[in-house]
Amino acid sequence: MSRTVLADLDPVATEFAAAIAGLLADRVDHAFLTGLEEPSGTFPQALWKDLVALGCTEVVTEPQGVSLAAAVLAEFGYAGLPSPLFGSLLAALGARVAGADDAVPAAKVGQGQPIAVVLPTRLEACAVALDGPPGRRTVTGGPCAGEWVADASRILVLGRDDHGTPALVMVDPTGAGTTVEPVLAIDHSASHLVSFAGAPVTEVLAEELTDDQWHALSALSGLLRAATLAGVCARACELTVRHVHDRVQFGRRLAQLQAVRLTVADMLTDLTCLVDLVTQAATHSDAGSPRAERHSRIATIFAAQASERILGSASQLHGGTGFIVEHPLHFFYRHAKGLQLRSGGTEELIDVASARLLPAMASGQWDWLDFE
Amino acid sequence: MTDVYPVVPAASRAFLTELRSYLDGLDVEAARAEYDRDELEPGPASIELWRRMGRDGWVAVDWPVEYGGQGRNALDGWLFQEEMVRRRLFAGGLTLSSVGPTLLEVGTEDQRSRLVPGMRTADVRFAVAYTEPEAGSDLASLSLRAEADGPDFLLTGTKLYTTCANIATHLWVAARTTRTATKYEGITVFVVPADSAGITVRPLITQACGRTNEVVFDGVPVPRTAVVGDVDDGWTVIRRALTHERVFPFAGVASQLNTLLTELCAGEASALHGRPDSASQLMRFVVDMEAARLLAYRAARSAADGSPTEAARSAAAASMNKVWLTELRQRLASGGLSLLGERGVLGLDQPGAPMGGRFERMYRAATMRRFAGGANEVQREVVARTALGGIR
Repeated sequence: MSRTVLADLDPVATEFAAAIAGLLADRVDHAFLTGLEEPSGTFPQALWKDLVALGCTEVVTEPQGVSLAAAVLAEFGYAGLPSPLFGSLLAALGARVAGADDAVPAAKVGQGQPIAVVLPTRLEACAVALDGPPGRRTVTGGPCAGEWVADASRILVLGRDDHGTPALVMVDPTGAGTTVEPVLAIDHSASHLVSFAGAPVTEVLAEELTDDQWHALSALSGLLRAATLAGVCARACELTVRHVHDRVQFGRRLAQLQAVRLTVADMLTDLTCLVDLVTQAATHSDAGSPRAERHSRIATIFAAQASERILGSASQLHGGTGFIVEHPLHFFYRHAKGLQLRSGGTEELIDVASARLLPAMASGQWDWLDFE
Repeated sequence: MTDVYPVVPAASRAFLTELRSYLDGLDVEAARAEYDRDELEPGPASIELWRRMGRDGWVAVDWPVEYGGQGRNALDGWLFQEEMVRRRLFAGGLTLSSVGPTLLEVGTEDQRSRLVPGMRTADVRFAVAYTEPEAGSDLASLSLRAEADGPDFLLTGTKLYTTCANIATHLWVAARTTRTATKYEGITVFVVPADSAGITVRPLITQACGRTNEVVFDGVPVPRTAVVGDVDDGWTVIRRALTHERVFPFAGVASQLNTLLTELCAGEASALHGRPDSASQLMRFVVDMEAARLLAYRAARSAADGSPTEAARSAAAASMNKVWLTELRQRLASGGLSLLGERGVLGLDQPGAPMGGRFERMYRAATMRRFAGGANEVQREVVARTALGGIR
């Protein structure tokens, strides 16, 4: 298996990912991940500083920002490391792809100031109201689920005014009217419930977000989680291959048993598909391709489904060894589910994608050879 | 935009444009109807189409120019297959995809000059005779005997599932010339005229209403000049031939999915009208289809690379492609029929059959794809071996 997860991205992204992978391999071990389970809710500052110094957050200013972000997040997934990076990259890149004003998020993130993201998985499910005249906007609503909010310099929020028009705004998590409550979640990503009661809007990124803009942002969010899942799945496959190689039962290594070999083959096939789908979507996103949303949504759905299969098989093949917390597999098993659910869950992803994509397909506009 | 992670590389776009333009100018309805009835055995119209395309220089595009090909690379060869399958047209089968390239690599000059030109114009049509009653997935345990008869050989034994033996001009036969300690040694591949004395072809009708054959060899004489490669080294020839069958086209399955998608949005006239779960089911297939598309592209790219260092990854990629696509085909056929409900039982071309009954036929045929061309369990073993090393 390739040591950078997304090995077919362009050489710049791959080289950068390798550097990140090296840093994470040195600093993130079982004890480190166990430490994240404590409900302190903040990311270790020394590591964050080093990641920023290496350029993790500057990717948002690059033309190939999505590919770079995907490559980096895949390595975070491989390390089993949830962090404020996902929200930060999504805030800056998402504002860009949605055609909103990305100056402030890009600047903050570029300087290493994390941004948390509190976005609904469907536009209709937006639970935040936007009030007040322009220049003195406030948000009210929630509680909304978010990650690493306690670390964030800003929270990116979708709010709807009393006409139902959605807007993309930012709020200071430490400001008046914002309540951030840490909660335990399925994985070791510091999770919070955020409530707003007349919280002042600090920046408006898009006053009236169109449907297409929302879907571009939503699709990118899914893609970045899919990239992270690719890393999680790659690590799960690697742990499994090692385990079946080492473990002896019935006088043979598990890797010699046919049922085990077939299962490993299916895991690797799923992983190969996932890596290719994420790579395709990231490349199309950076190029501003009209297929970017389609490829991103498909990659997100596949990631949700394949990760379930891969982690399920990994757990099965590890048996009791992988079930106890002394073994690292549990981090990946739980983190995969967390990523899947924070994308909206498989059924919702399929519902949204089918409404967005199937009409165009049915009109015969799709050529599966991708030939224009 | 056209070069963004392309499944069709820029260098191949002109080729594909030209091919499509050429095919658009042909009358293919009769050939297509034959393909819809049986994808594996060409009927008269399909053979005539093959002949016409061969004369026009539009088959075997990746064969060397001196043998009538266009000298294109393996990726273009794959695209040709995809385009033909997309249009539901027979593309020369194993004659062009497997036997021809193998003869070009290891055949004698006499074999190449006698057989290759005719293969392009459908005047030489091969059926591949590998499988036997006791040698299926374990092909190397084959036992059809090739006994020395002076300088020549006599073939005795039975082959099963020799598809197209009834319309073939020649048979590509794997036989045992020597009993050795290892079953992979002592095999020889022969080119045998199908009208040779001592050959009996018996039809085996399949659940897909198609035909394959049992072929009995009763002391069939073959000259030594019919040996492909070296005597007792046939396993090398077989492996070469199998590598040329590597990439399984996805376009046929994509075409079936497109049919369902079009049907979905046909309003009240749609056979899927009123089924609340149609959209979500089809979306799942779209996702799996996209994965199939990229796996086929990965396998084709890898096969086109051709370098020794890529060989193991190429084998794994091809195996992943085959497993994923064939299992998707079966799920799509089954799921598609379920969505069509009761009327799905109506057969191909039957009155009132939704979408011409093509899903009914697809369902019957799909299961075969999972065990033919290297059973999916064996393909999974190829994938596992690349990750687990030499552990067996």
